Amino acid sequence: MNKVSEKIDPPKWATRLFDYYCRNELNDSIIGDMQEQFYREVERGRIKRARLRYWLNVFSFINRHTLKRRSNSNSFSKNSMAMFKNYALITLRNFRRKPVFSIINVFGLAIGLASCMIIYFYVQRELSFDKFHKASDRIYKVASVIERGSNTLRWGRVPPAMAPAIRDNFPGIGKVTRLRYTDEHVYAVGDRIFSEQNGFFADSLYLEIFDFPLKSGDPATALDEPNSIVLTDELATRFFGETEPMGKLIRFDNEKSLKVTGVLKPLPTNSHIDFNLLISFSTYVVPEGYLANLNSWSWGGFHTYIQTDPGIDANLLSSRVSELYQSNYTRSETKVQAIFQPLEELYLGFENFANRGESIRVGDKSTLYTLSGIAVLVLLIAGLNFMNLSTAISMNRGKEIGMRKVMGAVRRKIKTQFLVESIMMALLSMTLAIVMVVVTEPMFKELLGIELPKSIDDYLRVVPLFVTATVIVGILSGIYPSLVLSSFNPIKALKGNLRSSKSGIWMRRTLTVIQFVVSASLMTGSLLIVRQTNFMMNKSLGFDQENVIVLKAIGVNMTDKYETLKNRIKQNPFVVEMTRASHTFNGSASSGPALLRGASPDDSHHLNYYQTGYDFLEVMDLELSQGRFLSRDFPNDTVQGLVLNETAVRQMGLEEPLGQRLRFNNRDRVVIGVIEDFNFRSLHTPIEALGIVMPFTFSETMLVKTRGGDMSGIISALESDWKAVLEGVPFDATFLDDGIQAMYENEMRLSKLVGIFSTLAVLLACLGLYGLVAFSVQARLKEVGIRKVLGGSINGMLVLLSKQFIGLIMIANLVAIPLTYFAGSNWLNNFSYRTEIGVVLFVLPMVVLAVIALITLSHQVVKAALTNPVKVLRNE
Amino acid sequence: MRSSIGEFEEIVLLVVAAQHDQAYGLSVTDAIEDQLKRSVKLSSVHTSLYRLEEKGLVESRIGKTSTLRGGRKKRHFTITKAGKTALIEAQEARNQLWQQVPSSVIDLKKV
Repeated sequence: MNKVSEKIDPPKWATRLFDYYCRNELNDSIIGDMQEQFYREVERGRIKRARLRYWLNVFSFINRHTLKRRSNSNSFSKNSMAMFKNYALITLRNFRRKPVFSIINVFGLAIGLASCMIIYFYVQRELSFDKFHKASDRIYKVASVIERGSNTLRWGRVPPAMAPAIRDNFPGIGKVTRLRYTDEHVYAVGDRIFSEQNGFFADSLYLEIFDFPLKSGDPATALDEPNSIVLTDELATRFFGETEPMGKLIRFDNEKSLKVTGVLKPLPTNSHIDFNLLISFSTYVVPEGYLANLNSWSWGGFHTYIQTDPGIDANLLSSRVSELYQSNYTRSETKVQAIFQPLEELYLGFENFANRGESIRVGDKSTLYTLSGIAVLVLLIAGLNFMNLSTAISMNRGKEIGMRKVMGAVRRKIKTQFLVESIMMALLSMTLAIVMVVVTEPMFKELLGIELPKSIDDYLRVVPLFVTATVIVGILSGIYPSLVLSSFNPIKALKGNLRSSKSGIWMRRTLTVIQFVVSASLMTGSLLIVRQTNFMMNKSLGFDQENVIVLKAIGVNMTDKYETLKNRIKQNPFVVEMTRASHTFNGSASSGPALLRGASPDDSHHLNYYQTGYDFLEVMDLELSQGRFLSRDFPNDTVQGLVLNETAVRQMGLEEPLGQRLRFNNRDRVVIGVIEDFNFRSLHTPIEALGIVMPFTFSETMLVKTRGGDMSGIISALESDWKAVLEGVPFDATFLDDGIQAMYENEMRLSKLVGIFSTLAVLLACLGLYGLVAFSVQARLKEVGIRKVLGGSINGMLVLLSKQFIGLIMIANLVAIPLTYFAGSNWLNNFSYRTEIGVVLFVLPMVVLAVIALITLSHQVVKAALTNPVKVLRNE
Repeated sequence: MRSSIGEFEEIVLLVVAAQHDQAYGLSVTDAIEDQLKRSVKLSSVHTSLYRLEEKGLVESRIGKTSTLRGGRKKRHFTITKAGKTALIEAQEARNQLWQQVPSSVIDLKKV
């Protein structure tokens, strides 16, 4: 018992806390009482209680009798001001005495801070989407989830009947509006013709729900009348020049005239929806050939938004709307649900929903997270660097510290001094970082869409944040140096035989390893992203995307003119073949239900489809695996021919696909052929079931296969053919592969960004390494001198001094490899078609880091080895 | 000098007087807890002692140390002349109140 009680001591931290606040005069007597009480409790075997009591005592003793007093606060502040001045002066002198190190130090931190600032602006922007609408917290987009058997479709758009039904069934909940994308149309002003695709048919409430301010016109009535159009300022200038656009008429597809009823101020770029024009919804006519009308409950093609009145429970409303949706949805065995997506989460939450439609900006959460992660890592590296270098630089200041201590500086003052110094350097870095951000802004504006704050107000909001963050970084990275340096024994320090302690060396080595782990991981990560992006862009898609030109005839009925145009174009020796196609492999496809003959209506399959001309197979170089393609020799093909891809055959479970009859999109079809799978969507998703039929709707996209070579010559030849046949229709030619590559924009952007920031990280880590090497070589100058005198070779010394650093890099890589391997495989799981994580991805960063390290090392070591040993050894 | 003392201070002062020359924070606390069966915090006793010292009713001196206290010195409190006066005054005031209580309500002799 006694033995145990001897061992038990009062909680150390409690005593420390007490010492921190209690006046010296009272300290002993109170702590004595507390400990006496403590030991007595322990003696009685109540150890836990004793500890608790002790802690409670420490807190309960805080009062005016016990708290430390500020003696002569007046003179203290004067003196401390003087000391602060002195610290600043010394900082400056040190900076000048070691300009290279100091600049490396400040520069490194500045790069870190600048990266963080840029990424901060980016994150801010991504999070600011759609928040500029006054009622943004009460606006929801109605999306739908359709469950049919094991198939679940999440669609961002809903049927046209939804909005009116909500309005009629739930009066008093707020405002409902719907939008229909316009597609590309021809707008004629006088005899000038423009094609424009960035527009919507919008219900009259649209401009009341969303705050897109009008320059002229009344938001409440602008979209009320049929044949009204609202333009953005920019488009109005394009159409009308300097003349006043209000009330003017615009010919729409040479069919009807639209009256300009409003002009919008430039739209904010942080809006998920992006358009140049709005046409009143009452103008909208369902295009010829469509099988649905505006009362349909199954045509999911309309963006629908609800602004609820304050106090309306959106969850409750959405479940009521789901019931309404379900009761109107005619197809059996299908569960439909209306989901209310909050407007503020739309931009980053879109990825969960397919069928988003055009002119919608979709945010990318993974880029957001990746970049935020990188910002933290880069700042971490920069901070560690700063810490490392500051400590290393200040090791030579032993004499200064010794002198300060002899002159009466207590440890706390020296700690303060180094903290102040570190904060000053950090603030200096911040200034430099701001300059860097301003200089590089154009580049990042393009990559990230960031915008620097424009008004003074915006700056005032951001700058305090940066200053605070910088001061925190300064303090965090200053703590370690200040602890180490303030612990110097003045006698030893003044004698000059100051070696950093074992633990200090280990600490700095650990920091270096962490830096290299981070930079090796970033390097591997960015290599992986680049590799996956290249993989996707170069993967064989199952069709030939090279040298194919996409022509678009907008707003013209091509039915009569197509053959004439084709005959003309095919006379060009550079043109191989030409065909029509409803879609161009860039992600979109129509879809509809397909029901095998004799199957129950509940077994219908979801089938994507392309409408193409006869020569689609040749133009795209696709392979038939069974039967034949749509052909001129079989006139029936126009109305009932259907070609399936292999996935479709598999999914429908067809043993004998040829001749199989089915009802597809309310038409009877016969399967006449099967083609091999090709990626008609991006490689993010696996190939889906696809059917190919002859055009039954207005088809306006044509594919021209060329032999390649002088593309601009070919295009201008195409243009003259076009003009001859389609007088007055704008000529619109693009390359097929450009459109396909555009699907990987996110990956390309991400790989560029990660590339930039990981290069910075590696650069930072190397700066840190340089500093560390330089320092450790300097510390061993005498040793090098003696070795030289005794006949050591420069090579030998190089090996001797490099050994430990190469070791550090190896250790760092050993830690980094599993880390990046797991993170990388995780990321690759996002893709249906993925590259492998090869050995190169790990070896390359290792080699690069080792080489850079060796270069810095040999530079320093050779410098040291070439110094005349006499110089180094003379003063002992 | 006349300074008013509270009821708790009076008790602390009384214990200091009782423990003549040997009173310190913990001993006073213990005495109050054991004899008055009243739970009291060490810090309240200390605070009270400092306040009494400010009022000039007790004096303190640094005393001896013991290993039981982790080598910390005790602060001993002794009652001053003013302290004694204050105690006596408090006692008298109390007596006066007691005498006004009719014996039909509380008869001290019969308890």
